[in-house]
Amino acid sequence: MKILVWRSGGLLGRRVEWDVVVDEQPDPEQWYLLIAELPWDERPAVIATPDRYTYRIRCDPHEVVIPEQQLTGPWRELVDRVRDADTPKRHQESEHGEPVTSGEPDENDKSDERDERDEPSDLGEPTDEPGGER
Amino acid sequence: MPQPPVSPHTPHPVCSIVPPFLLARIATLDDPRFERAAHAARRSLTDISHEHLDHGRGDHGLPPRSLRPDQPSVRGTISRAIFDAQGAETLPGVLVRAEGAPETGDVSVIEAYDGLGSTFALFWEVFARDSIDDHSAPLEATVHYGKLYDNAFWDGRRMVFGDGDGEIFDGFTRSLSVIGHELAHGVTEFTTGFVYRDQSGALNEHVSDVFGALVEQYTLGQNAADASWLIGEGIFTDEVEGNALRSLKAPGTAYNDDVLGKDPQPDHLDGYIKTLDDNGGVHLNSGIPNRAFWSVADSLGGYAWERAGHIWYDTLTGRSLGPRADFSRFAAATVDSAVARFGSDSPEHEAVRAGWTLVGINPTR
Repeated sequence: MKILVWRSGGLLGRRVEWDVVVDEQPDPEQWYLLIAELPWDERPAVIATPDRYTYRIRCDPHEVVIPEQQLTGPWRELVDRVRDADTPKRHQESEHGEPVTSGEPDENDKSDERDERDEPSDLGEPTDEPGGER
Repeated sequence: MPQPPVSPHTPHPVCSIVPPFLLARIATLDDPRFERAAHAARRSLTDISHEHLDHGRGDHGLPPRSLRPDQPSVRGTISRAIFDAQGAETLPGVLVRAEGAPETGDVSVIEAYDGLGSTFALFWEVFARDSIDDHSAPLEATVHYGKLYDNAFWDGRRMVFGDGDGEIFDGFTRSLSVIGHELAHGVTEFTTGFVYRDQSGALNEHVSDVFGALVEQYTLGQNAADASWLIGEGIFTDEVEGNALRSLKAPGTAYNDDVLGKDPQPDHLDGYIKTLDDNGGVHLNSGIPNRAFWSVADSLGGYAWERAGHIWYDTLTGRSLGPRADFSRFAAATVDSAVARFGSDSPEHEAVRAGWTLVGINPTR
């Protein structure tokens, strides 16, 4: 099982990505417990706040978009875990040429931008997504 | 109005003081013939030390505010409050510096306090806008938000600054353009209210970049040719190959780094980025109108806040634009503002049209 986290927005408006393969972690049971308790079907209210981050979290078949302000509790825990577990990677080009980096060490990942339309079902495999394993 | 000259060698002028009620009346004069007097009156009313401001003109025709009796009801009185989140993420945090209080030694607090003052000064002294809501709203900022938090934002009520992650960002309060950018989001909220996604969101970002740049230029006394036209210069660490977050003059050139990548901003409508990220690329596509503004300021020359800035401010407050305006409608509104303020045959009108042509936007209502 793979978990992908994208963070976009912020002052720079850039996207960064982190991902983990759960079964490769030292404590996969903890991950599964966390994943199981997350409200994947809920849609957080999205209100755009200037220069805040927006998180998109995918764990097939689930995908949610969460504004920074709502990244609390177990969602926050999941994102923090993914970031901590992801090893720093060199930058890679996304499909439309926007470089993507991952594994940034900053612990404070609480940026939100709030999308006004929450459309996780549309996100699927958007063209600006780097896909596949890294 | 009598404006007793103030000798630069006399810290406390002994000449007669223009009473505050008269200053207030002068400050609100809208007639272009009295623009310098109105500007000077607003500067006098501003409760900000001007020692650190270098407008390059040195004209202080009115006595400093400190000699006037307190007039809290007079427009243009700033009220700042800086809070310290102390590494947590609860807002606002602890009040560490109120208006008029002495420095505490915390550099972030000092920078935020001064930056709020500089932003207030631009809007009040140049545009006669009394704080972000034009009704003396207190200006609040929280510093030391979160741990290694690599961002700064406007939360609808205050500015919030992280300390940076130490790898990409070294802090945010040191940049006047960032502080001005964030506060300008508040101004947009109280004026056009551009919805923060897609083109209206890019306009929201554009307005913040424009007035962020103008805060810096006004504080430093830079004309359009001398200014860097950069947003967030100096907030990157030394490890980053880049100058700033964005360039209004040359979108797409602010940085090119092996971690951040290359500045992705387009400088022409042909390069408009359609994306689901960043609320539809609001920080990306803002480059297009940004370059248009730079072009207007550059072709007119002089201080950008005087003409280009006024045209943009008139557009923001003119009530002709709705929250979902797109680039074309915004461009048309700036054309209308230029004509209204400077006339149809003016170089200002011409410069605005040329600016939008440069970036491929057709002003349409």
